[in-house]
Amino acid sequence: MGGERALSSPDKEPALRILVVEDNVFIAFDLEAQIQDMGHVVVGIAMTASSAIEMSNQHRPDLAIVDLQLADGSRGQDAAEHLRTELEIPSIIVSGSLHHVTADERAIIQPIAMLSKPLLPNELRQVIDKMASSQRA
Amino acid sequence: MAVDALIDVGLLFDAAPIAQIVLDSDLHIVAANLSYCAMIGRGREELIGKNAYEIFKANPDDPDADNEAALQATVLRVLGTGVAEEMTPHQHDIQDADGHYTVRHWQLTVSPVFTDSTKPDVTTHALICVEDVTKAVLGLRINEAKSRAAMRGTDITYFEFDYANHTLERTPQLDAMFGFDHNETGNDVQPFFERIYPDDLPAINDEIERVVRTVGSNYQNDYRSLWPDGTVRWLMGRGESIRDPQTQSILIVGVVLDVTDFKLNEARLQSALDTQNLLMSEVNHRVKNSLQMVSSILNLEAQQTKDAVARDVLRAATARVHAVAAIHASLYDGEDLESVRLDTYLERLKEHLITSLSSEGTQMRIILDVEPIRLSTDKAVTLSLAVNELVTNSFKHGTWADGQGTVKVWLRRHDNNKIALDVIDNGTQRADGPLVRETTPSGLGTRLIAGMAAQLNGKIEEDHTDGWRTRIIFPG
Repeated sequence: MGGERALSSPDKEPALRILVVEDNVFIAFDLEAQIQDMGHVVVGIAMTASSAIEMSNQHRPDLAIVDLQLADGSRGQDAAEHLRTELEIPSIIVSGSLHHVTADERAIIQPIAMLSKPLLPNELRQVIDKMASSQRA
Repeated sequence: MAVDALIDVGLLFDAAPIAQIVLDSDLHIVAANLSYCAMIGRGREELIGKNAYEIFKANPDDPDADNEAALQATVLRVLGTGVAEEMTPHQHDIQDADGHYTVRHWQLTVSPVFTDSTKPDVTTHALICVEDVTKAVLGLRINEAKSRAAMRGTDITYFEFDYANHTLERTPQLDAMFGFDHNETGNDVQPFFERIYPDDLPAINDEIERVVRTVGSNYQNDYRSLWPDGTVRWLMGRGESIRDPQTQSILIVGVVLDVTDFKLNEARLQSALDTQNLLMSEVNHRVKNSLQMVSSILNLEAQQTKDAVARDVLRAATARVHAVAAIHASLYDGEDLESVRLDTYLERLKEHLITSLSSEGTQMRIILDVEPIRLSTDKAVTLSLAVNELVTNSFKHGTWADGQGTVKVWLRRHDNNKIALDVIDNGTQRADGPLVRETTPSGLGTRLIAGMAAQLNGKIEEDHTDGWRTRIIFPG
């Protein structure tokens, strides 16, 4: 899946390394394409919470984009919590039912953004651009 | 002179069968006749010279005990006008020597009197005729309470709880509600208290204390009994406190209804409602996810396509999917599933349009001027697709001298029961251009706008004299 192709030119800010946690293959590929189009790198696509944690341990991404209801019944919240508390990796939550995230979970995950599906065009880009420029600052 | 000087006015006053007092303008009691003293159960020496409301303090358990101001106002008015007034009956509970209040209702008639015989035309005081109308107001409630309660149906118990003696007289059904066999317990109330659900006990005790403080007040308690075998029954107690005419002790008399079946039914209904809400939430999630999937498929196709024209076609298709998706988001935000508020909805569509069209490299503004009209969901979807096509057209095909374009979406009530949609841009276009500017080479935009106007049972008007204006008028 996502090869480590960086499209950013040297004069721009360094590309972010991003993990996509999404169990729908079309949506996952679309997110991957959008991220690459922005000049960032997709380190992998995880379809379960456990593989998200495994891939994060292996690749140490700067950011994860996390769906809530994952394959094998696992929960994106659990992956995002682990990433935040154990690996200090922030998440952007992308879901059709954001209200499933409780206030407690939200306090632990401290998501960079919570975006409702279907995503608006450029909605993801705006959030990631903001994060990339604040990292550079 | 109206009164023979030989007759003692004081004797007449005392002989009157109606209770009467004389108050000054500050409601201090100046005189009270024997009927009044007998009715209230106080001696004259306790009354004269004191403010009426200091003697008869308001019952703290009666939230409406605030007629002091009303009486004060009436007295001042009567003294001013010299015309007698009858006040509407009101409740003012009277405290016994032992501190208990009793519910009492009063009817007062306020008349002007003079106290200085040398100035008979100057009224300085008010003569109040005081009538106890408690029985009339309560419909002889105290005397009838027992028989009324006893006449209720067989599922309802009748009980008589003696507060001071801690005894409970009742019909056998009450024993059954607490899981006792007939005659298993005597008339001590304690075994019943021991089978009240522990969480409910404090509220019951508070209510009993309150009702006993004011004789004649209503008793109302909803609680559960807990049997030794774990059975829980939901009970509803209703009654009132009375003073037993023979023993003078305070009783709570009333009925208890077993409402367990109603409660269980209520719980079943709540559970069904919860299931339905869960289902709704799940369907909502699925729909949003599916819309995301459709949008992702179109994005991926556009990404793969090298042909710029084909890519534009796919982008236009994605924008149409988003116009439908925006309606869906608006639907689940509100309670109403059958109609949509167009002003809030179009605000959301505007965000979609700005984010999707701003990448085209044109600096554009969208101005919304939308009345808060509700439209059925079906019509709203059609309308939103029309707005999507028209605004996209303006972004793509309008040309602006200074590169600053504005598209205005204007929606309002029009004539009788009609709605008018105007999409107006300030761009320029050759007057001999096509009637509707197209979003796709296939002319799909043209056909869609015409089709949507037809679907709304409306008609299209166009005007190109100053910028580009398309108007659709349709029945609301």
